[in-house]
Amino acid sequence: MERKHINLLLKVLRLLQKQGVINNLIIAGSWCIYFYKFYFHKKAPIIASLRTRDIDFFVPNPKSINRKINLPALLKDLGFIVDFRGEEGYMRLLHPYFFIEFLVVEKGKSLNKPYSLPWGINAQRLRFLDILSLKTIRLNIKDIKITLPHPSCFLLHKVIIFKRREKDRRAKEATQIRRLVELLEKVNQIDSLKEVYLRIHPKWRKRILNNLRELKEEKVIQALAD
Amino acid sequence: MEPIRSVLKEELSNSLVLRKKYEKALKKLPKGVLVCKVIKGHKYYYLAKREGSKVKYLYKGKLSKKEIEKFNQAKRMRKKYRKLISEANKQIKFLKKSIKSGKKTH
Repeated sequence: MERKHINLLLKVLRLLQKQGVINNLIIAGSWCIYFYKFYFHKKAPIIASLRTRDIDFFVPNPKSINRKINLPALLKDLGFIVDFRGEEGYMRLLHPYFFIEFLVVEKGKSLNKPYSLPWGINAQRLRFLDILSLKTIRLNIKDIKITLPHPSCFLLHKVIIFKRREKDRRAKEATQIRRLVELLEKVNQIDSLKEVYLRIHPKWRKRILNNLRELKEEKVIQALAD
Repeated sequence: MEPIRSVLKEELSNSLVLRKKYEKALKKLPKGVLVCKVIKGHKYYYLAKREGSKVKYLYKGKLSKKEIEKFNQAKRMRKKYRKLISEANKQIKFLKKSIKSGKKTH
C-alpha cells in the first residue's frame, strides 16, 4: 500500500475524531488486518491481505448518537463523492484510494432499507455484526484513537458470514480466516476465541461450527471445544 | 488466481462508477475563472470562459466576498476533480491490463 493511501486514511480518521464521531465507530472489514500489526507490534506475523478499497465503519449503537453533522460535505473537501449502491440505496463515499461505508446491525425482520444516521449519511444494515463489538481493542495511531474488533471477534464474524458470500469471494475469505488463526496463535491469544464464542447466541454458534467444518479449520474447532 | 481476479473485477467496476461520478460532479460546477480589473480604484469582475478556441469575458461587475469565494471554490474543486479523474483513469487502465494478462496466463 502506498503512503498516499495511508495519509488520506489518517486525514479521514482525524476528521472523524475532530467531529466527535470516531468514538461511535468500530473499524470493520479487511482494514482491521492492516491495523492489527500496529496493535500487536512485532509479535504479529505480516499478513498480506487481499482487500478491496472499502473501509467499513461499524456503528454499534446508532440510537445513542445525538450530534448532527454533515459528513459528506466535510469529506467533499478531501475529494470524496457520494454514491448510492444496491436496491436499498445505501450510501458510499468514494475516492480513488478508498471507499467509506457505514454499517449497523440488522435485527429482526429484514427491512430492505438503509439506516439513517444523524451525520447526513445512511448505513447498510447487516446481520451478525454484533459479534464485532463483543470484544474490542483500542489503538492510538498518531494521536488518533481508533477501535477495532479483537481478532477473535473478527475471525468468528468472518466464519459466520462465510456461506453468505458469493462463491467467487469465498476463497479470499478462507485465506483471511487462515491468516487470522495464524495471528492468534502467534500472539498466544487463541484462547480468546472460546471467550468470545461463549458470548454468541447458541444458534449462531452452531452455524459457526458448521462453517468451520466446511473450512476444515480443525485448530479453531479444537480451541472452541477445549 | 480466482480470488485475485474477482477482487480486480470488483475494483474495476468501482473505478468506473467513480470516474462517472467525478465527471458528473465536474459538469455540475460553474465554468470559468474570475478576473479582477481595477478601474478608477474600483474592483470589477469578469468571468473568463473558454468557448471553443476563444476566451470570452462575461461582465459580472462588483461582487461580494461570498460570491468571489463561491467561484474560487468551484475553481479549486474543478482542479481537484480533474486530478481525481486522472487517478481513476490510471487505475482503470491498470486493472483492465491486469485482468487481461491474468486471463492469458490462466
